[in-house]
Amino acid sequence: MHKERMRDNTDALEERLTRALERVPAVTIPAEFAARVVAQVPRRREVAVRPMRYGLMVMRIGMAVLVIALMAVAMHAGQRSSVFSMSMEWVLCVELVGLAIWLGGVKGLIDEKA
Amino acid sequence: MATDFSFDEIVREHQAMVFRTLLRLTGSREHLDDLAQEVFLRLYRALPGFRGEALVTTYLYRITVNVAQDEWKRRRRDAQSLVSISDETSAWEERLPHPGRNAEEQMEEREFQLLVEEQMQQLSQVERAVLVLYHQEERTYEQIALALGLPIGTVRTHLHRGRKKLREGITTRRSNGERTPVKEASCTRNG
Repeated sequence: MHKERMRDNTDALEERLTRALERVPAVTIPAEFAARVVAQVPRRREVAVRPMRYGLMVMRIGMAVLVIALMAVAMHAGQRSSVFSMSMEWVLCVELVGLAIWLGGVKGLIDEKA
Repeated sequence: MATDFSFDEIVREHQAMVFRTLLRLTGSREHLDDLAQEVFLRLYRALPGFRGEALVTTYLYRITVNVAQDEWKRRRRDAQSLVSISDETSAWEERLPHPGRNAEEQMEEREFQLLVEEQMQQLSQVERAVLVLYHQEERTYEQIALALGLPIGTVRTHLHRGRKKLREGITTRRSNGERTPVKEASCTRNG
């Protein structure tokens, strides 16, 4: 009998304790709390990065090398013309024109993005 | 700025949880705004490394517990006495919604609530955190373990031990015939 009452008391206490722990306290949140927090947040600095255009640089160098090669081949062909030097000149010319067109296209795209 | 907008949403969505958890963990309404603000600022600093809503919530619990622990350390340093969760304007114990009960029962319930709050402050920080997250915030063992960085078994142990200590504390206080000094408790605020 006594044991039963003890157990009942313990159960009742457990139940009340759980109820008390589960009770959610009422809190008053200031109306502008979120805005105040956001105002405290450090602003992220906008970093201005100038992109490096390695492709463009390589293209320009390539074109310069091609022009020099063309001149060298032309000078060489002037002394003794051959099929080999003629085809070399044509190949170099085509490469130069190709690069020029490509460079024009890429430049146009970059300017559009900017 | 898009980031600020979404952060503003995060704050609005979780502010109630942060406030009530801090209130229960620190046992005081003092500096509650400042502490909640600190929680969200710490979250903001950590946000870039986090993805997914579940992870943010979990991390938010962890930050809240850490901020509450820092507050406890600060109070201990300042040698301030523990203060009541109540205050003059909004004692949450007074809002117990039991319209069917008589005044005496309500009073008893309120005293019991205060006794529980008082005994909660006697627990260790981790026991208090586990009890609040489990009972008040209704988190699972796994979520608590993740939020506090503890193994699940340890969470269970802290929960069991915390409840046992609370039970014993309440029983001792009652058997000693002491009653929670309601008036005093709500007037012992510092500052």
